[in-house]
Amino acid sequence: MKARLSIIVIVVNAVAALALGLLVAVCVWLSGLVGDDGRDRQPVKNSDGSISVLVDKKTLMDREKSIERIKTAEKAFRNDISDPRVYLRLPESEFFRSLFAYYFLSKIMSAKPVTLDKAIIDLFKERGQLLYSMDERYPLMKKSIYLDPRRKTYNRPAIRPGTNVIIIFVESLSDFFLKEELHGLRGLTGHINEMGNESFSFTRMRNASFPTIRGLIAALGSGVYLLDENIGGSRIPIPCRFLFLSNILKKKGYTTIHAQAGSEHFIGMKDFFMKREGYDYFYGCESLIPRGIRDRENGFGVDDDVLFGFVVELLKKQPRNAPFLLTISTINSHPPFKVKERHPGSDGNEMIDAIHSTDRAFGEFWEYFKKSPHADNTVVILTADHAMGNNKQYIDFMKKHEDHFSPFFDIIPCYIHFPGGAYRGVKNDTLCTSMDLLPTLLEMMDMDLPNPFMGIPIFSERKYYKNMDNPTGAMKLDQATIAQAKKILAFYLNLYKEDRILPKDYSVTLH
Amino acid sequence: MNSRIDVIKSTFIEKKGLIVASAALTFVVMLYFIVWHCSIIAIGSIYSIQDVSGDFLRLTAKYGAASLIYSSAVCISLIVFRRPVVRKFIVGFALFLFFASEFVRMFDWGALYFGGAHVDSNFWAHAFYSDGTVYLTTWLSFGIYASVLAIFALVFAILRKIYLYTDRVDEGARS
Repeated sequence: MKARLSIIVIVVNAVAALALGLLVAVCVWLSGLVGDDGRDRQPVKNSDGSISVLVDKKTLMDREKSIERIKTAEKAFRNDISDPRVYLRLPESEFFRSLFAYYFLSKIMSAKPVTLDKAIIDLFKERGQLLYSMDERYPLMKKSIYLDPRRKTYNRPAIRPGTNVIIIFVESLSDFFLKEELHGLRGLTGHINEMGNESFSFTRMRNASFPTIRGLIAALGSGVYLLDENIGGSRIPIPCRFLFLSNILKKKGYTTIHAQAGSEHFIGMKDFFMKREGYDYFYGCESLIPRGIRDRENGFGVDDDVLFGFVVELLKKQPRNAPFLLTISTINSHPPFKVKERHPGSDGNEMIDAIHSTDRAFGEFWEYFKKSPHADNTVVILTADHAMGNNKQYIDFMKKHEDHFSPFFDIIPCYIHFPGGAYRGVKNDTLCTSMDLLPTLLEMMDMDLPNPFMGIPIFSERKYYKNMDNPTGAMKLDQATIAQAKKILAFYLNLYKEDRILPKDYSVTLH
Repeated sequence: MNSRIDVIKSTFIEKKGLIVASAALTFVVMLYFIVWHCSIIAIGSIYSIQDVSGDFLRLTAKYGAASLIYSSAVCISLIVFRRPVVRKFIVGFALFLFFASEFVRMFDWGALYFGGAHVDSNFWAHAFYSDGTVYLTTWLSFGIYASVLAIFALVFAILRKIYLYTDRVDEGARS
């Protein structure tokens, strides 16, 4: 009886599942016939599983052919990034994979110190990253910000000692959004553009990292951080320290302040900045508008106009005779986008409106700053933490500008406004990354010290080294490349886990 | 041959309630999976079902198989095992599995709506930081909670029916 009943149950269940399956199939069929299964969106794979889009010498000689090949490569990878099949993954399995990756994978990979072999060390050196030059235990440490001090140039802007430094990181601001001639939205970033016109600019700076915490570490600490955000978090705190601009300027008597529209507690940012990176003050949304959670209902943190309003008040209180470093992170252009001010040409695209809102908020600050008593003794730098990610509003908007579609990594603005408007309109077209910002600032301030930086001074040295860019579009992901990447990842993870970026007894000693 | 069909017929008639409840469980669980996935694609992404129709049908087949295994396993276990403690454990475990799935999918929906990204292999690294708690009290979240509870209540009701029907499964055999 039980066996018979069990069989009947299985058969009837199968019929029920089949009936519903057929119903779904018919609905899909009726609503537009079964079509693209997304498989043609993937880059072509070789028989060994590697992905190749190689551009040989012959192709490179033929300009049209090489452009066509590069476009094919870009398209293949662009499609891979925007593969709709990501929405067909089972969330349950992704959830467990994420648990495994978070608690076990990084632990397994970071368990042992990894000494990189010569081939990899040379690869780093080609990019201007010197390894094992001082100490086996602290492989990133090197004696100077210059790999070859003979290249040090004075043909560059200078920042005199004691000048205040303000660095504004606009969330996800790809340089494309500042180019009205490309996107056609007049006045989208009018205030930022106005500041850019009054400033010195690096026109080809790419973000070295994504997302925000990695972007800040790249720019403020010229470092590579490959873990997923949990640097100061409470679940698995990562003990590593980087050498930030704040650590260095404190030695020169600067007061160091960070203000951000996001939460102080998010990934332990406040602890990380204050306990490890030498910040005296850290203000997140909890300090900016301490009125409870309801004020922050629309997305992360508070609006950027609140942030810049706070910054203005902060500057008013800042004494003129004591130098300060103020770093600022905005939030409106982080998904979910916070819209305070709609742009008439946005067509309801909230990403565009959010960028416009940040621009308006920045405008308030900029108007104040230009007339403030600090204006003649402060360098203001405006850049981005990273490029825009591939959220759906970005993809929607970029459908009209496909040639400029570059999610996550792209050219980001880097405007430097010097006191009195010096170097206004001067542009530097060197291809560089956000990791070069800190050494370049030190170069302009004429400071040098032993450091673990992964970037190099743009004026003196960047042109001698390769960038991470791949202008030929040649890509090959084979087993050897993957094995090498794993080794490098394990190398970094162990540095983070065992706090091997800066020596324990390191103190800032300027040459 | 005829007698065998008669036996099946009589079993079917005798246990009609259990068989229908079991089929209903398969149907509801499968429908839950499919509707969830349709909503995530149609509302939460920039794509339509047509963009991924080929793979979506393959996924539907997988959901069908998963629902078949889930409901058949629950029913057969309840038919086979007679001790109340074991039977209650089976129902509890089945509900736990279903709720675990709902729980993950609830956050997946939230993640998609708020962050523009699917639950992925980085999910845990980002999850449950204090910032994210602001999303737990939005109207959309309340809508998601209500759906989760309603579907859970439906599955619970069907499982309860199956539990009660299988309580009397030996009656036919004895008669």
